[in-house]
Amino acid sequence: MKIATERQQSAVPQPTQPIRLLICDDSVFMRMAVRTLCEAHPMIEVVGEAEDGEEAIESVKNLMPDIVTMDISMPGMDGVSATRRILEQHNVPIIILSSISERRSELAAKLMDQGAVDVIWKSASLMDIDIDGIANTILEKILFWAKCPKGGETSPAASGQILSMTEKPGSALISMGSGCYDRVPKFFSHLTAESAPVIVFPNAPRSCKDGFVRYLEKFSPMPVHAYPEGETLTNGNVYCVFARNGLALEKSSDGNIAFTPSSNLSENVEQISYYAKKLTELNLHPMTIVLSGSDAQIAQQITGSIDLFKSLFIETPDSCIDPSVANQLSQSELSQQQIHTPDTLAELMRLL
Amino acid sequence: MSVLDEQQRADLQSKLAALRESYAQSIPAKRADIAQKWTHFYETNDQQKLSELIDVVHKLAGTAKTYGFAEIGVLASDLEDALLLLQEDIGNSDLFQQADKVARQLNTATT
Repeated sequence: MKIATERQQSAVPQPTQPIRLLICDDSVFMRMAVRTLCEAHPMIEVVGEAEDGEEAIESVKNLMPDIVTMDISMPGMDGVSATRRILEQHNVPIIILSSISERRSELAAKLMDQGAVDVIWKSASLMDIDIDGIANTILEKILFWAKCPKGGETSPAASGQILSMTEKPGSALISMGSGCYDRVPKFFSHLTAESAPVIVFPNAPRSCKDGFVRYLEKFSPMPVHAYPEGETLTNGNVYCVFARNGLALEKSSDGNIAFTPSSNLSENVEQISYYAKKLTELNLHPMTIVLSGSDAQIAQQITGSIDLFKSLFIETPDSCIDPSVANQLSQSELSQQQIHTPDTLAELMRLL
Repeated sequence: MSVLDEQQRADLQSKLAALRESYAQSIPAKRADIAQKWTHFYETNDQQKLSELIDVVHKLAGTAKTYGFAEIGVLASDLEDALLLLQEDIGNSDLFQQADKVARQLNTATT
């Protein structure tokens, strides 16, 4: 086991501290490639390397990384067994690194079922002149999936607004992105068939969209609609609205409300404002929750049309891996009553 | 959109180029190891050795592609597929010959 020593973790983690990565691969050249790539990004710190499954388990226990990259094929205990054993004992996102082959694809799918969050295929060259290809994808996935170093550990913020909420919201709007790894199980496992419809705005890079939807489906007991064009907005359902999808909410003659393609929505439509306004008009008054890694435009939209967001809840900036939006909102003229810890916010989902 | 700025990308490309050079120097030994393991299996039909060979070939397939040695990476993937088929039908002479053919191609491919 190789442990980085040059950068010590501070006693009190800061929200801007690097994501702590553990690399598990028996190939020294592959470890060097991943390490070199990740160390190029200032927000990723490689805290250790493991050469096989046993070392990986020990390293996760000792180093408590924020994310792990795991090779499937390793001597001794392989990545399949190591992933299963690690996830039995630790809440840490694991990204699988795999060479493409039919057999390995099946293994990667099995590992995703067991709790690995995403897969990176070792089929593309890091040496391409266009370094933004596979290199960018690897970095995007690590940055998106890493759990917040101190998520849920902050002292509880004021929860007066939550306690005073007695009426069931008509719908929920949830903006989320990097650092929301461990929010997904907490938030979505509470849903039932009677829950108000939930519309999620994932701020996920293109390379992470499929993985995000799969992860959401894994933890949501209710159906997840990844691309809800033509779907009817119904209780007990989760809808993903990715950026610039151009879907409007329209009430049809039979009274149903459906996601409908609309040429009236420009590419830069202020999506969350639009949905908040539309849902209010449709008497489905939304509860809005802004989590770590939210799209930067979300803050502008909310502060620019604050009257639309009667029930607004924002994650504490110091529990966000990407605190920019939460910081912007908490520093605006919004009431501090709207800032809450992730755990407190997760409780809101029971109101649905 | 890139998550690295221009300077970071330039630094990264420079470091990766140095790594690639080191990797290139390691390829002859990796191919020799594969050739030796294949010959051993060819002569003994030792299934344990076949499993070890598959793991080594799989590793070469992944790392060679990552480091930009596409031909070697593709041939290693082809050999892995051939060996996996052979593993499931160990007495099949056609599969044996196919694997032998790819093993020879891998051994002589240019880097």
